[in-house]
Amino acid sequence: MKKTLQKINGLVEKKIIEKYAIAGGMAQFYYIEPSVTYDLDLIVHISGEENNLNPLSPIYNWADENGYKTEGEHIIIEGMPVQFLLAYNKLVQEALQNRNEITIFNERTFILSAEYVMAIMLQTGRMTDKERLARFFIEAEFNNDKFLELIKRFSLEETYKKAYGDKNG
Amino acid sequence: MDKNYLLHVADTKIAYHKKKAKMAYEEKVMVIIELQKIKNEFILSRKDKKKSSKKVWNIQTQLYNPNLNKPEPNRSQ
Repeated sequence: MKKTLQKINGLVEKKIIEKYAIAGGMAQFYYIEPSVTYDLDLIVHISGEENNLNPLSPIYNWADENGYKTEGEHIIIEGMPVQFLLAYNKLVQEALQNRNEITIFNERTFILSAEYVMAIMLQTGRMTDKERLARFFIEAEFNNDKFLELIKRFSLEETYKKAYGDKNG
Repeated sequence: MDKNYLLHVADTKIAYHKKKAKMAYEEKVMVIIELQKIKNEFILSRKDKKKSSKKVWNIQTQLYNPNLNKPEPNRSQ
């Protein structure tokens, strides 16, 4: 994974991507006990992406030029399937802006904070998200006030109450 | 079944999973790879022999030095 992260950081140095953060399962497992997953999701911001019909194309071009194979939407970077995702809504955009800097495998990288990961899981609402979010409440260290503020601001309070009850009053 | 015993079992399970959640990320990645291997073995052992399209990560994990990667005490910033 160190080599994968080095290549991803290289994309920032080459200005192919402006900003990124680990998201999805690999971000969730930073905060809770891991279970099985097969890919690394990255939320990315690419300069000028708003005016580009295919904003991820520079990443796929880079992969092609450097001999990294693609499988569907994933690029296999140093043995790990990586999916690059644009910040697809306001919550995800804000999550990317407020990412945390961490060091793993002795490599500097970025990850979405626990509270944003939780809000995104609540918003996405797949069965896996619901199950893992329940585990966040038991296993993870997070700022509950920040989480509640986020779900209020992004109109997720009702979804939260329906799924997990009104345990925060 | 004694209710107190069941509560005790539930508490120990919660404590166990909380402890696992605090593992170093590098260790968690190793666990994920082992889980991928187990899952793929299960898929292969099924009668219909349906092949898994998902592959076990082929990444270098020996670069991990546990002494350099202590788990962070508080992951919420």
